Amino acid sequence: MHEEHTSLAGELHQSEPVIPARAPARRPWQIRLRTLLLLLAAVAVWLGYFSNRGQISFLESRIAALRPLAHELIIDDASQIAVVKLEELWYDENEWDVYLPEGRYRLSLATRRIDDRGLAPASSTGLLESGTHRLVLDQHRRGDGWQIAVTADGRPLCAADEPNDWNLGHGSTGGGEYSLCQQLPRDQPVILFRRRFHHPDATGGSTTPQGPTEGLLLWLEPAGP
Amino acid sequence: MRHRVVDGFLLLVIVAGGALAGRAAFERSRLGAEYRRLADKTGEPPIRDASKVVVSALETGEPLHFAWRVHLPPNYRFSLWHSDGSYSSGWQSSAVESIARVRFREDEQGCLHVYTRFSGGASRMQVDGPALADLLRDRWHEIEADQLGAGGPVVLDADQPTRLLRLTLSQRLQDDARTALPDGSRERHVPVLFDLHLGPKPPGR
Repeated sequence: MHEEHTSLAGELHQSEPVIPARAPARRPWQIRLRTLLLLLAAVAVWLGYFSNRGQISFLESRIAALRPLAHELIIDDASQIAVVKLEELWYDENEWDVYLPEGRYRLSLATRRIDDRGLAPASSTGLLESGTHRLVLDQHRRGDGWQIAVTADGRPLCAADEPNDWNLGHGSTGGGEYSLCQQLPRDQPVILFRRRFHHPDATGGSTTPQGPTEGLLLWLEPAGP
Repeated sequence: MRHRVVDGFLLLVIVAGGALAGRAAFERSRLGAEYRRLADKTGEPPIRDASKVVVSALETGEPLHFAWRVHLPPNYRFSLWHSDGSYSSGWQSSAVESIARVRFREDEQGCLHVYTRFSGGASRMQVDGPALADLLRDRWHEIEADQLGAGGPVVLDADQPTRLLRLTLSQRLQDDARTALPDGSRERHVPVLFDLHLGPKPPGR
């Protein structure tokens, strides 16, 4: 039985030669599985990239909107002064967070001969070392005059006393600077506060005088290495 | 051969896209952390329609201090007015995101003052005489505060007026006020001590 079968197979081989199997012809739109997977992976990573870019754009715009509300001291360059005025929690409350790079600095307070630009003769000064400080400017009416005081980290640094007629109560122009955190060169004066008091005018109203007048000027400047 | 070129090109696209996507994911994660930190600090009401007014109360931890996170749409003309008719107003061409505050404090002469800050403007106003401050001293917990946005963000149409804050004296304070306050003060501040509204313009203006 076994031999007979073998001979039959042999006959077949002789009469019909075996044609090798061929892959069916690929149509033009057909691609290989590997290529398809690579294509999907490429689409996925680029979709991921564009999705992240969209999110980044949204986050950047929200951070830009929120940062001014936070009043935070941001130090990007440690060789420069950084300053931000804190949010006012009471009327005319003036506080700053200041970062001072290596060196010593003079904080100066002037109450007279204040122009709309430049500095004025200081009525009181104090020294500050490098580092981060909280500066507070306080003005109070006391008895027959005004007391102006500046503290650094709770420690009195500058003070001035002025009579009642120093501020006639006709209004003022100016106030605290740096509601948004800024970095500034360390060798230039940094004006934290400039206010010029109004004087009564001939019409019964009040106006800011031309030239230097009474008011408040507070600034920082380098005092040596 | 053609397939190898295509596969090679796709591999390059994947590597380049992967590198960029990785860097973008890192940046997004960094910015996301910064955003959450700032939002925790300043409050961040959901602004789904920038043409609306959105107000959300913030916790201050002080009984005499009220704060809100406020979104005002572009070209919004706002007014803040009190029940006595006094008001202030302002306008900004662009949308405003700000923190509004109303805070009470006694001055050295023993008079109560209220500080109001809204959309960049600020004012301080004396609230009656020393008798009112004497009555309320250490009794602020007896005042009922109706603060807009205390229950969550409130969305308003730009032309819709609303009450921002109302402070009402408790019955016990009202009873004490009858003897402690002069007639004029009583008329102005009992039972409603403070009533502040927000809207495009005060009624009758």
